[in-house]
Amino acid sequence: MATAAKAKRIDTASGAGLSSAPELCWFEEVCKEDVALVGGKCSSLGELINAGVRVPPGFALTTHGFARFMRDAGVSGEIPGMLEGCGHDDLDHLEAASKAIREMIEFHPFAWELEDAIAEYYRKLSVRCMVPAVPVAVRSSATAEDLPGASFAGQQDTYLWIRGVDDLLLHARRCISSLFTARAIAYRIRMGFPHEDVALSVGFQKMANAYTAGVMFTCNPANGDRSVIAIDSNFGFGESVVSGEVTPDHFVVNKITLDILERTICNKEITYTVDLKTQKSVKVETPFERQTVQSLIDDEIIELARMGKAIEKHYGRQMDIEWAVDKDLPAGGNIFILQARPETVWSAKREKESAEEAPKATSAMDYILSSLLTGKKVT
Amino acid sequence: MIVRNWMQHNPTLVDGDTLLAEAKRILTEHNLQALPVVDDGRLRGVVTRQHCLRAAHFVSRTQSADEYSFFANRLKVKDIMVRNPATVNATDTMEECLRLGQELGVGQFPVMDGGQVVGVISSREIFSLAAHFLGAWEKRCGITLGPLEIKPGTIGRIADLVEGAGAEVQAVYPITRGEDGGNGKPQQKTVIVRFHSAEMKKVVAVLEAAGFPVIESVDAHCQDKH
Repeated sequence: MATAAKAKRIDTASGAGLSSAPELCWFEEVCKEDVALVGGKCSSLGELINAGVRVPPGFALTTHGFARFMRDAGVSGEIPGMLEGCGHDDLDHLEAASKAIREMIEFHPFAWELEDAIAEYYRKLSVRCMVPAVPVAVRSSATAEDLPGASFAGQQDTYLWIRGVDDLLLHARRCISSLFTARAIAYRIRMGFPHEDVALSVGFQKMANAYTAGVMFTCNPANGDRSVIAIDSNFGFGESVVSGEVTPDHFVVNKITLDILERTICNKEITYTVDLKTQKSVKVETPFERQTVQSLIDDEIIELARMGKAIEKHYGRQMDIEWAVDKDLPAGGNIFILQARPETVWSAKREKESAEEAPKATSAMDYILSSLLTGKKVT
Repeated sequence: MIVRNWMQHNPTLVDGDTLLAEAKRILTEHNLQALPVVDDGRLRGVVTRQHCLRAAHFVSRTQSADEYSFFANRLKVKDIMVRNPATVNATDTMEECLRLGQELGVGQFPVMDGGQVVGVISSREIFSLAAHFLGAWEKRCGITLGPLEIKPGTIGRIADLVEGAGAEVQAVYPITRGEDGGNGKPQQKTVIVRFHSAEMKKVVAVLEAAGFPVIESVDAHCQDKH
């Protein structure tokens, strides 16, 4: 069925030029080759869903939808004028221009047609999730080709627990406006990259009501050991772990036997969670008696490690994975993968080594065996 | 039969910022099926009773006071309504309206005239149409014939036979049921006959004697007795 949906999408995309390109699509309709259409984040979510991984459902405003907004809003036309005479090192001027551009984008409503299209996808998502005006995470999803240098692209922008069409549209525009931070503008001026050519996709994903969340590496990030899986976790949404605001609990799991080898429980002082009264994401202090409690139970650690192995196998490389344990669902079906991207630091290093050293180890098992053969100790 | 003459005039409208709880109250109190959603004079969507009830059901199954509160105080019509709804024009015929409803599986339409919502067609209006057609208030006798092939003169002959048996014909409707004949066969139809008569049995006998198969017969007067 996923392939059928995909074939249909390609049909519409290959129609008569830009006008027939999809402005919106479901995650399951894209795969990792669609970075130009929906950006890295959304395309990897599509890839995961089609690989059978448990991922919260959602949809994306594609780069075509983004381009349409920029055209409709007349923003594309005004930006060059607003940046007239800005040098990349003229910080005050850049900040002022950035502020003006971002305000213009954030206050400019979507055209009726596009608003209706987004709202209709949102309504269908709500029906699928069986929650009226389902809470979503709104994230920008950058297309790497157009935006080299990940840090400036503004793809750190993530808005959690957004409910209702109005808020959804506002935060979609906020994601778009993050393309015009002073830093991003300066970078493009310096690199001679035209502002009209930037592209962005915005993902809308059902919010997992996380009891615990965090990240997982399918190798040991401390030493690159591929025979283990490393998991960091804290209570609440994963933002506290991703942003480094807490020292999370750390677990190391043997990839073959799924034994928990290491278990470091830290003092976790804050939690990102939702205030159900206001329906907003908030940062709160973790109650004292919970701060030093293990945030992820052993069964969940092992289940997560198992999912990590499957994802690593699917991609054929080490992965950096964001996950969450949903508190509204029963055990056995409550662990969700929110994001998976190739791990870069150790993969790059190993590629260099393996070119010189032994035959290239593509799977974890190959790596373990070749390490054993060369007499290296694996945990 | 123009939509304008059958539709519900001056329909109740809501705007996108109306709370869903309020829309639900209006639908319940006025026993309506759907409310057109109009912002700045422009039709933006339709919120149906079914959507409201589904949302309410989703909320009640959470058993969460915060969800109840969100539903009652925060959830807006624009979060639930169907955008770009199918519409009919005030100048369309009812046949077009019925065909569109069958095609789309939709039970209600906002009626448009010059870009403005001027009415609503919902199941209530369709009920009224059917009731008028069949003279639901008149207590007519009824016979259904068929299946048979309608040729020039067939309808006239049926009317003559029924009137010849002392009845007063009110209506004759040939209707097609199911698939077309196919294979070059002529299309088979059933014919509904409605009339006033004190002697139902005689009418049935006359039609059967003339070779028309009678598959249903309803005597208005017998019904009165039971």
